[in-house]
Amino acid sequence: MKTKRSVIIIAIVVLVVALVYYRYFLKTPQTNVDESSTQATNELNITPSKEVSTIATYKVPDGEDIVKFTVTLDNQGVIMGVNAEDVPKKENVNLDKFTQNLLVVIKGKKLSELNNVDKVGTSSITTDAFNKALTELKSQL
Amino acid sequence: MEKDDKGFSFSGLGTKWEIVVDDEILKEDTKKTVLQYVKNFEGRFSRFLPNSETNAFRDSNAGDYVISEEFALLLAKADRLRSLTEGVYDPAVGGLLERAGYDAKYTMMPAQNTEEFVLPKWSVKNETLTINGPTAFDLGGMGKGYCIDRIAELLKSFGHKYFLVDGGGDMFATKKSNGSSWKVAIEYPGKPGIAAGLINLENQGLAVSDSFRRRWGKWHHLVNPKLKKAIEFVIGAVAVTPSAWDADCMTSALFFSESDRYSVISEFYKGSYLVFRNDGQAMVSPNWKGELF
Repeated sequence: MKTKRSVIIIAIVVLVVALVYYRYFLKTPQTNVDESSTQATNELNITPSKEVSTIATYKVPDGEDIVKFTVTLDNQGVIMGVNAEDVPKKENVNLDKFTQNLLVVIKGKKLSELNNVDKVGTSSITTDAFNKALTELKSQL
Repeated sequence: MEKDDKGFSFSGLGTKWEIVVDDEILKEDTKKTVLQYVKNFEGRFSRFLPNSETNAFRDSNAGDYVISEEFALLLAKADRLRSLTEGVYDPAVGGLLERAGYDAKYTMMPAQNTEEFVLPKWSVKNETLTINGPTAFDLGGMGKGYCIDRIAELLKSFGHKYFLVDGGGDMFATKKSNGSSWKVAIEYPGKPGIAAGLINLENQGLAVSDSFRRRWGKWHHLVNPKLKKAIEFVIGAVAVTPSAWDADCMTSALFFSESDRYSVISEFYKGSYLVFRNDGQAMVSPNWKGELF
């Protein structure tokens, strides 16, 4: 079981490398959180969501597992879902069975780009300022 | 969000609260009951109020003491969290926090003798608390999570079915009256105005905790009593569980545990999580549902 867990870690690392490559080395319309201007005009350029995938092969006590990890991103580069498929069996693998974390790099998004948000979950001290800013910004949209 | 006529805000437990209802308008007696509950809770359990039950044992001798049913409930939950984190979380850390400057006056002036702090030993069985000497308790975020769930129960008892209770950024939400879920943005730890992701809350609790908000010197409000220093590796944790109380407990568990324990924590609280690390990466539970930016 330990062997399987360690190879799953390797698979996840491969997945993350693919993600990082996709998000940083390929040109995507990913928002830069440090930019001060809004990107309202860019949001009109709707493009289909994209998928990136990688296949991980690893040995387990009873043979070999081949799992294809697929990450779906929307036109803003936002992760919409992660899927794992057992390649030989052509069956989806339940991600709940994986005990390891997914490692991702979250760049963040300005609140002015969020639509129809009911609330902001945050550590308590900044709630007032954040909610006030959200209300003000939404009123300008 | 129509919050002007369907909700109300108030201050309590050191933060701002907001209740949003998505069905009938909140009646005055409902508001009064909620306000009274929070005020009463704060008086009984705030570490910053001298006559609170959490401060009742700061000068006590070793022995057994009868405590209120609600305090016993809170300490029993804290005891389970203490076991889950292998003793790293401990509500008896209150005395150490004070020495580090996180006291009622927010002096934020660390004392020089934190190394000498000896963590008091305590246990709770039914409504009996056993201590080995003076003990100052600090329930931390879990007290707020508990309070959020009690307010949710109060709202239900007044006939509300569709609402969201926001206690300073931690919350519990039912679904909306049209059957949809509440859309909640998650603030990026340490980056006010920036969202890390979006989740849909539906009959779930959410807790967000970070180590930036209350920081002074090398200390912040998350303290490892064994190492007597602040937790540095994890800078923020988010948990989604069936209740706000569990969500608050779960973020504490994530803060105070090594990452190889996360799956056990996730299973224990039946929740999903997002953990922000100081190396710029975030760890996401495989069962996390929601967008990440």
